[in-house]
Amino acid sequence: MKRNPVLIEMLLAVLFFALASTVLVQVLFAAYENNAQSRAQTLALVALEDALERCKADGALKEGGEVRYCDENFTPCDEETQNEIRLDIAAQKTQAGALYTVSAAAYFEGELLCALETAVYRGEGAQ
Amino acid sequence: MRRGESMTEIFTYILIAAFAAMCLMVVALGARVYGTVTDNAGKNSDMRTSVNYIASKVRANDREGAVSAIETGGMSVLMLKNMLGGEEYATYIYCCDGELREYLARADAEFDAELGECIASASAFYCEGLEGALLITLMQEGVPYTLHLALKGGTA
Repeated sequence: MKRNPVLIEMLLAVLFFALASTVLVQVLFAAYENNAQSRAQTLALVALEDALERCKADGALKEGGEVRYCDENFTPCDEETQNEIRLDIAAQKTQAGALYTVSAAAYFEGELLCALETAVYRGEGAQ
Repeated sequence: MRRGESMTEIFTYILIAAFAAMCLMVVALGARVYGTVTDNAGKNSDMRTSVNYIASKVRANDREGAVSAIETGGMSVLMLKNMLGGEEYATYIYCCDGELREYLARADAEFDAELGECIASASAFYCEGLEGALLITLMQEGVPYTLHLALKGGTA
């Protein structure tokens, strides 16, 4: 039986292309995922900075925790979502005043994305 | 025999067509992912640039009476006063024609929004003086970014 050399060549080309495109699709998907992660991280960082600045400006800081739900752009929303900002305020009280340590963490789809911490000093009688 | 040959020929053409279609699909997918990645990178960069720029400007001018949120011509403007060479100057940060702009002029000169220099693209900018803080909302491509800035000097 006579074989068609063009057909064999094409079969080999398709096989090679299929292998190469498998790798390429994986790389493209990883790039897409990384990009989405980077965008979420940037938005979360701005939201965390905002939360910490709010605490710094707050004249009456109170110890404890707080959860703020956010949408996919890390904009606060009323609905319970998987994107949230968790604030934790701990105080070290002395006679001269109190040193508040504010920890803020951003969760995207339930997973920790980034966290920031700051300290705020409030002198005696400042509150 | 001749029928078998023509079938092989048809199969070869089908294979060439499938190969071309797969090539196009991979190129289209690549272009789409590239577009999304560059678009998001641009958005990130614009947002970080504007937010950090405003925050740095405010922190650099965080003195008593130097930072104020004003309304002029229906526009929300952030005004930062500073002394240069013994004279008082004001830096205005505002949004005009889809751009976040900055305008530096003598404090007694009239504010002209058209003269400002572009910092980044933005569809809206609002600022509001709160007790011990400044609330800034920046809108870029329909996404609002809110930033509270705690001020030592307060707002005027």
